[in-house]
Amino acid sequence: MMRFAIAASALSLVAACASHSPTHVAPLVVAPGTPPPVATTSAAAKRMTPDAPFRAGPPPEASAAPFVPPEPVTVWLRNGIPLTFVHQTSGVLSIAVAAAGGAVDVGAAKVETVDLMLATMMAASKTRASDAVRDELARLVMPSFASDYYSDGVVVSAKMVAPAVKAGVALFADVVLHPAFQERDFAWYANVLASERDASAADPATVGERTLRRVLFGQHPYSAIRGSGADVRAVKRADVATLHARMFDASRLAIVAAGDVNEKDVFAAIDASFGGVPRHDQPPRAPATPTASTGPRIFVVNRPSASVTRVHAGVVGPAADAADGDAAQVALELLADGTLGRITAKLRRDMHAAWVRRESYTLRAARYLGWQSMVPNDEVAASLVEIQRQMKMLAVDGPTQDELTIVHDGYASYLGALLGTPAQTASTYAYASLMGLSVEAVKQGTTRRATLNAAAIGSAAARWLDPTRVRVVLVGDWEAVRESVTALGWGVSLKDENGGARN
Amino acid sequence: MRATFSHRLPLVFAFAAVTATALIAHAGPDVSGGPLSASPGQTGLHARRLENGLTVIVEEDHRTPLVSLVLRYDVGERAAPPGLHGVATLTQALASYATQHVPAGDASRLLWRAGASFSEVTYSDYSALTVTLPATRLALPLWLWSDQMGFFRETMDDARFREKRDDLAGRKKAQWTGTPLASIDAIADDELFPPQHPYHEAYGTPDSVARIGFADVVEFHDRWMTPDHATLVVVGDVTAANAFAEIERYFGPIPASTGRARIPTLAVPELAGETIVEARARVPAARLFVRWPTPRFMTTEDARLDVVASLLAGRSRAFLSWELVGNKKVAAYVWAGQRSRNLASEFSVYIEAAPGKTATEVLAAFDSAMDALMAHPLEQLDVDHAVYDTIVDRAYSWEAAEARVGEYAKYQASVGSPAYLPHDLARYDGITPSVVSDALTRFLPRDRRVVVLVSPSPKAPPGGERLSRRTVPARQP
Repeated sequence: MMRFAIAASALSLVAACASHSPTHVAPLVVAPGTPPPVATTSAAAKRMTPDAPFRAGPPPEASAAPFVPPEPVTVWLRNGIPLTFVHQTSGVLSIAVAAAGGAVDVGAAKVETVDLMLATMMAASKTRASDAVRDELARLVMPSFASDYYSDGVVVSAKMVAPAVKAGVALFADVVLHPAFQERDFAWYANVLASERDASAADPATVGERTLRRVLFGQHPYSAIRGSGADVRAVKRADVATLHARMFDASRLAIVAAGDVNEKDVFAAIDASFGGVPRHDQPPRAPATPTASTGPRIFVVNRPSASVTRVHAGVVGPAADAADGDAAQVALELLADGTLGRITAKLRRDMHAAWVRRESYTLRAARYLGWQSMVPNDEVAASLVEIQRQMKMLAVDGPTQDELTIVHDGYASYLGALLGTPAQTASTYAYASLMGLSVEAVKQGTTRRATLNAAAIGSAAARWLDPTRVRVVLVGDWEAVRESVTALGWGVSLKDENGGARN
Repeated sequence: MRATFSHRLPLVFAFAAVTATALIAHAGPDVSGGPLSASPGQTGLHARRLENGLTVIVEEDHRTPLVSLVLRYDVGERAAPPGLHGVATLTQALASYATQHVPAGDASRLLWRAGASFSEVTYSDYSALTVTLPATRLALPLWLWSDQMGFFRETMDDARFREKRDDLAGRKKAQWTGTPLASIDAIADDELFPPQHPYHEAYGTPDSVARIGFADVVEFHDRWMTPDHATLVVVGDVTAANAFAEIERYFGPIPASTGRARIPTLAVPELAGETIVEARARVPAARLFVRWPTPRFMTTEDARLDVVASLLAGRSRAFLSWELVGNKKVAAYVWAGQRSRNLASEFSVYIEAAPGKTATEVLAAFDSAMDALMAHPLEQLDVDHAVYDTIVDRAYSWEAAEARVGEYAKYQASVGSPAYLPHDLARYDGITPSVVSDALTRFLPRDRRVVVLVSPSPKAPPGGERLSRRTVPARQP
């Protein structure tokens, strides 16, 4: 019976992943052979003059049809967990469970407890060994569960075909809510994770990112998302189990489901599996607003004889729900978009930067707004001056009319990329819940951006992207850049590979 | 006794294959008859070839008001003249920057303004331009890309050429000096493919880019960046008829190349023995590269080696990782993969040593682990898990339009049909432990491989350097 159910599931997935309903398809014969040829157009197809007038300029700008996100429905399970359901045309049902906390529970020094918890909890449940979990996934034609780790919480997610909803949700809940945390699994994942941390410890990108977070966020829980191999080895199995019990409490969970399935079936399946989660009313501590760092603006991790310098720069930005959050984000994009940003253009064209990459993420209590680049040693100081100049110009003059048009028109459809498929929808709304944002706040993103004006963007740039707030981490040959960088007078501090102070 | 779920795998194949069978049904010759089905949101796959040879594939998907497109040129750095690798990347960069009707820098600005996400990549086998934007702006990338294809050379001058060439050379230099193992990776690749092979030095270097002249770019463009070497795929909120009409308008008048150039199909290189390279790099611990030339992309053997990689260092089965990281603790990280390419693939193992362990010690442990794997055959359950891991994510990825455009283009360019998914997945069916053992024996022999032993050295030049090289002839010719 199950086989028929899964076969039907597979067929329904076709509607999402392929082009049309499989009920119209001839019996399946899978045998490699000569692929079907493509057709050719008629030989009588009309030829046009190659340099026709329509090529003279870009095609007329038709207004983009706005993407209207499907309407979410939110209900509460019997233990109070909010469940947001979004009906979307797809044979795939995606479920995401957001669990708030983590870093704020254990503190920056023990942040690896969170990652290790995620890795180990997916291995096996109290009633299913790891092979049994994998067997069941295969039986239900489900991919492995996924997990994402943020400074404000974690999101675990599953995908399944519609007819497998009941069994799929039950399996997902069993693994997520009742992990075995067996000693053998824990030891294995701890070793793997510690080894990975050791292996990447000296990677310039890792060093730069880690150092900048510590410089910007100090002792705040946001100051570390990864630790060292030693940090991982210091985590005990009991720490992981304790954190899981704390985070996967009904008072901390939010669930999002999206797909083309019967609403009542989804509610019933999820309530049956997640409605019994105990509720101890132990919400995570609200993260404090990070304080802006003072003192030196440049931090150096010395890599003798490196011929190029890796530059990481950033500021602490507004909180997720701040009124000027969108404006600050847009200001950063106008400065450091990897293709068209003002800083990008100048550094690529005049300073021989290999690339410039914007780096930003939204945290509940503060955004991180920054960028990375790789610059020849002899251009490092000049590039920092140029970056400062560009930031000031944006703060004083605001965006150009062309940039403002890009902000308004360019974002007209961005919700389509955030909420276009069930997986995207589940992920977006689950993350929003960790940020303390409502689904309405997400849906109104396009409208908010469409109403941003030059003054608002300039004001946000002046407030959040003031050059004196920027902290810069240089990973490169200190001797090669010492003279020119010191001459800037911004203050310099040397750091070790872990972002700690160096004598 | 452990259960096996091999009896369930056919369901997985069925799931994915039915998907693709649906597509095949739409790969027919005529779009005038309209869609063959009416499932919510989507109405089928249609394919045409324009008179000038451009292959066009359109799939309607009306779930969001967006459209994804890819223009894939079936050529990359492998087509570069000897010593001029980087010419494909440079040609694409110049074309994207300015053409006869598109002023310098406007292409990116217009796409950004239209709300597009976009990218361009150039590999050894192909280059691809990808964009997702509001469906009402479908004509914009068609206008930009057709100008790149048909009106490239008119506005290019020597100053612009030099600026872009120097920019690319600078970025190559930054890559080579900013990545501790950049040279080592290249050395390992070049040991696999002899100097006359199109993949030899296909990655391009600052020097090879600096050698490229204006005429080289023009010649490369006129020879390769032509309709008959390209596939254009459109998936999204469009009607097929309208999309074909727009594509015909912009691309139809562009002439085909004069005599379609082709890169000859070559036999997979055979190594004469085991080549051992000793090298040093600025890494905190030793590294080990082991590589073999293997059968090309989309062959049955290529799929089997995907499964071998999953067994060695995959998600649910990772015998090498378990042995080297978990048990022997000689390694910190293990990666294995079949890097599939059109002319010849390569199977690659990359190991980061645990602190204090030498590359030679890691190699010995690796060989010992591989011996153990051969001596104690796998169970069917292990193979099934590896197969499942290899294909299930791919099947689910087809949900997103931006993923499907790339897949359709890949199949069309590689095997001549966008609807090849069932055939592709059929390659993974019926893989047994003995099939895996056979693949290990045939394709990953110890006496015909490239080994690079990397010692950590803070004094090594950026990117690393080779210290010595020797080849031990294979036991049998």
